[in-house]
Amino acid sequence: MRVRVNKQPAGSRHPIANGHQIENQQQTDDQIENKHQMENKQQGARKYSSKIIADVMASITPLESLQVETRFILAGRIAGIMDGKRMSNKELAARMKKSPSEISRWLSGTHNFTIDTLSEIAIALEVPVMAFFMPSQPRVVRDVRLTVRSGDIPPDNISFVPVTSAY
Amino acid sequence: MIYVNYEIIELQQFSGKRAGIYSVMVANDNLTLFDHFVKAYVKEHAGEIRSITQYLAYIGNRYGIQNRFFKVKRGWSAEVSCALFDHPEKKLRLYCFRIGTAALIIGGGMPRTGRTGRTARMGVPEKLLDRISRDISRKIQTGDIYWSDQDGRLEGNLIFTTEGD
Repeated sequence: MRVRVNKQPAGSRHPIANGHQIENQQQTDDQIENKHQMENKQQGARKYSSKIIADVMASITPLESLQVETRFILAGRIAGIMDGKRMSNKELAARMKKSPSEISRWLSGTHNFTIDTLSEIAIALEVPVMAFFMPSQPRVVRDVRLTVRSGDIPPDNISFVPVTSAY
Repeated sequence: MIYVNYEIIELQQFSGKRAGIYSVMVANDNLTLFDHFVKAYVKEHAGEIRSITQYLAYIGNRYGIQNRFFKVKRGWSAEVSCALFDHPEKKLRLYCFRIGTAALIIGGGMPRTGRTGRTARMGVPEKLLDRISRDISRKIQTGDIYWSDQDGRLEGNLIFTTEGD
């Protein structure tokens, strides 16, 4: 098995960037050739695997991973409950006597919630605190209004809304 | 007038079934703007850099591009889309340009400055991203780049030339 670092292949459709595509794993010549053929046929963006990003991701500890994941999940649950109640950031902020920007930060997925803050949010949303730690039930939409617009719209571009939504 | 060539490329470690995550590689550079951002701050802000990489992987693979992940500040150019990871307790913020709900182009990032996080003037990555966002908007309007429903990815002419400094 020959080992090589991927360079810009001859005939590549990417003459501008003069970089090396850095791969972390060894590849056979057949695999490398197949990959270049696939990339040359694609009309999409060149796919890039960064060693710098790979090194960072390899250094993430299980604790850090869980912390980020938990913040995302909590923010998502709160946002989901607000959506279900059709409550805006402004409304929740008014209920809690906070600024809308603070609510936005909570929902961004980066906030480290305290138990006390979650309790306050639960009261404002009128749900038990445990609701933030349980998967939400899927929302059932029984009546749908389908809108199909003609004109300069691609044929597969349609929109639909539940008839219960307020406009 | 100096012109800069650059290319929009897809970051494989972040892109997934929920969104395509892209960055910018300037001609004659081996690294993307995002790589440069990581290199610049990984020693001083290692924990935040690790969080940011996870964040981007989650957006691409699990959550997609949701409005609540982004912040658009008053006073910024209307063409510069938003910031990710912009939180008062964080030291860093990441500039990006959204294309609908399925593609995100990450520029560079900078440390937050001062209590309000405002910068005295536009930093280098923000200025470049400003130009890039205008170029992309123009190409979307002309159809030179587009979103492919079939492949779930950005396609078209993703190589650009813009004014340099």
